[in-house]
Amino acid sequence: MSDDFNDNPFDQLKGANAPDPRTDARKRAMLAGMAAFEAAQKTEKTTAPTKGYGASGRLSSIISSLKGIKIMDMRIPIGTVAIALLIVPLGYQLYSSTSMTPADTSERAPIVVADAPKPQDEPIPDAAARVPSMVSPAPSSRPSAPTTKAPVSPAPAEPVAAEPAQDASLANQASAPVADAAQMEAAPTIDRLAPPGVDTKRTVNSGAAAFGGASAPARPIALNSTVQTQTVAQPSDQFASFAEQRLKVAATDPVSTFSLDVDTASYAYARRLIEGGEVPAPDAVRIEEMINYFPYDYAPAESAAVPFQPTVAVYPTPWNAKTQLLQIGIKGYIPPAEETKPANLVFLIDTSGSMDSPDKLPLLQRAFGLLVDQLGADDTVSIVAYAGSAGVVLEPTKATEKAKILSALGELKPYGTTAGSEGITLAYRLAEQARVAGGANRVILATDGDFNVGIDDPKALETFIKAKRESGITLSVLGFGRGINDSTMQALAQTGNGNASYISSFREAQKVLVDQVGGTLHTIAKDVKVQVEFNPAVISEYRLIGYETRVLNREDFNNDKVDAGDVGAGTTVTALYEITPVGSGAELVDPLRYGGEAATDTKPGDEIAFLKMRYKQPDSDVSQLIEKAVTPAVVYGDIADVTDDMRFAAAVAAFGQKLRDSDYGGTMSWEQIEALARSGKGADEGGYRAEFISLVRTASLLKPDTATPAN
Amino acid sequence: MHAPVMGLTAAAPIDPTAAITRALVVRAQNGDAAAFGELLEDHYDLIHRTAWKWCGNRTDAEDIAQDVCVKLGSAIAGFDGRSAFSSWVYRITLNAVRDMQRASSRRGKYASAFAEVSPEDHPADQEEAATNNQLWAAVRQLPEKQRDAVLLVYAEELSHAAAADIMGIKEATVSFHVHEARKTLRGLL
Repeated sequence: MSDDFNDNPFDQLKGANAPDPRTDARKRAMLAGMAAFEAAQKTEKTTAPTKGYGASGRLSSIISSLKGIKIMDMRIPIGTVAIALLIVPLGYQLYSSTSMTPADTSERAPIVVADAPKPQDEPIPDAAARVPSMVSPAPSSRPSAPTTKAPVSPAPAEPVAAEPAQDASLANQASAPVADAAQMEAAPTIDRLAPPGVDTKRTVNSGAAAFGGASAPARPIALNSTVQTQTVAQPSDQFASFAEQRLKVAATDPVSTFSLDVDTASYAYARRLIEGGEVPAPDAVRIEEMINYFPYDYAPAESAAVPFQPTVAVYPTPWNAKTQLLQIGIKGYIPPAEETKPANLVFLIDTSGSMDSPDKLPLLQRAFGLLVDQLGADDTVSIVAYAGSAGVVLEPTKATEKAKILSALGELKPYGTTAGSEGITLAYRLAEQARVAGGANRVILATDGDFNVGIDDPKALETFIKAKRESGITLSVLGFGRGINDSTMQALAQTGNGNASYISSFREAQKVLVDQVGGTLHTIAKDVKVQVEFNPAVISEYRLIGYETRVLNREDFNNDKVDAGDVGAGTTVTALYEITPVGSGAELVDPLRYGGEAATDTKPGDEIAFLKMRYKQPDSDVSQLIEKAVTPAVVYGDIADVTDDMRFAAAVAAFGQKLRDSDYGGTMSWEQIEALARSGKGADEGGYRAEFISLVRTASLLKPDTATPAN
Repeated sequence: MHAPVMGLTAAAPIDPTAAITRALVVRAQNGDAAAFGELLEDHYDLIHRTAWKWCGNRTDAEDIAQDVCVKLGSAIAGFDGRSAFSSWVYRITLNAVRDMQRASSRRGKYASAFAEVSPEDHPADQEEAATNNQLWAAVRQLPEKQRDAVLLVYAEELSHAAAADIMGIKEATVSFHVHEARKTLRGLL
């Protein structure tokens, strides 16, 4: 060391002066410190400091009882510990990797993790299964897992527990609806039983069942993506990973079922990244959310009784001359102004230190200001802050008292504390307090990714939100800034029957909170499900574009207990199928050599497909059915003949597929997509489509086409 | 601040600043908000300076300083006086630095790309230049323990004993970390 003394490089570190802190930062820090100090003082008065001797005295050793006898007795516990450390992992290794493993455990293991739509046969068996594997790996304890399981599970649930998970891969099992119904009944009670924190892996609620569509490869995403999500390339943002919808053969798999999705967060997120010069990760691109970002001019519904009517069209696919696109669009009923229901809104606002950025809290304040401007005399607003200056900021207040609401909003400060996180329970309590019968009771969570709202365990949080949803209070999530945990945001909004939107700019706030406020506030139909049955005589193959995270089981369609997406007033929702007509030469799957023809003879002639939609009135638990046949009458021969909306939707789908590096349809060049979007621009009142066109151009620079464009 | 060094004095000379700080701490622990305010006032510069040296940019330093103020407010009741108050403040600051850097490495490396003015665009003024040269950058890259030891001993010019107190390790271990740091940096500088 001494040789370094002459020339110590660290000497240069001496005497460096950090610049003086800025006075406003200093003042803010002081204020925050004082606030924390005062908060600490308040709590301290109620709780005596616990130092030293409490009720049970001070623990000086865990094995104090032995201590007095002989100090060398220490060897026994230490030796035991050492042996245990060696034996337990070794035993576990033997237990799990050799032929000593009982056959049934290996089969059950995936069930635990797989998050299949099955009833909660309580967390106890799960814990029981875990305990023997970790603590007592000795073979003698093996049978204990099944036996402990038996008494705990309710008798009828036992077979169900094992079946749906394995059946999940076989979509159309006849027994499945029964199992499903049983499980759905079981679910709510069980959710209540499940203690938070015990069962993080597999609390399944109806939402999870809804998204755990067995027929699609996408099912692992389900709801609790926060738990088992693979975080993808984007370093700061978390997305549930999902596989693309695969091609289906109409002869063997003629029915496609999914839940409507009105979220638009994916487009806003992708736009922000692209404008910042990055290509979003494939899992961040959800094509249906991109398509649904844009308003389309579908035929409106006439009355609240039938809140929407589907618009159907078939037209040539822009990226494949031999296939066609089947577009299904709906527009939610817009109730006349005098019929709008009162709204009871609770803003649950993240005020953690990270919100202190121009695109976060200040934007949020202006955005909520916009929303408050929309409200009428019957509406109430309350504000709760969490993670920071936590607590009730504004008790339920009539929306007519705008000044009071806006000043309360304006006073929100991002104090960097993380204390006091009663947030979400407080928000729901206020929502309960100001509940309006027959109106919209909604908590709007605004955050930049800090979901530390008071319930740490994601499953417990979902259970809580779900229970509240059943009591009629829904939850929407608005994301701000970067670093948002997208999968959590999605999961919460889906569980809470609300929508998740990503607010990247004031303009976006205007779109979500002003132009489409009806969709946010006034639900006109809930649990909207779509089922399309293709006629194998006309259609040989089909593929749903997007909706990977929304796929339902075929049997879920008629099961009113399965949760699905809600549609707000005036919302437009679009779904696209790429369909391959029989004999077009574009089939990717070879026909069966033996007996593929049986199904076709009963079909009524030339119908392409049959569309069924189920929805519930906002205040009903019984679903209504809308049916519509897709006949050759809606087929357009040339894409130039279809409406602007359709061309534009096709362009957005192509854009999404290209951005995702889709296996299908990624063959259009950026120029072709741009030209198609331009041709479908139409009146473009909000300017959203013009923005999309420029976004395509930016994307083409970020991810240039390779030398061989399509077709 | 010039304590007279006299071999004959039996008791250590009383450092008036330290005594005042001690008194303020006791008052703050008894719930005196004004005393706590004064403590913050006295120590904010220390906190900010440390945070700055450790991370080398203004926004982070300010955020950390604010976090530390908050932590001081909620934790001062638990300060047991076993070490000097300033050591305790150092310790909290270093923990805050560590927390923030871990959090930001999770949050995303591209966040700075979205800052309206990236650090490179901003002409460094003299003071920034003083803490932003190659050596500083290299030291900030060191493993946490080594970095803390080097900065405490050299940049903050504390004794090894004081650094050891702050880091909660033995004096010899501080020397070890400094030595390790020197070895690590030998290739770089």
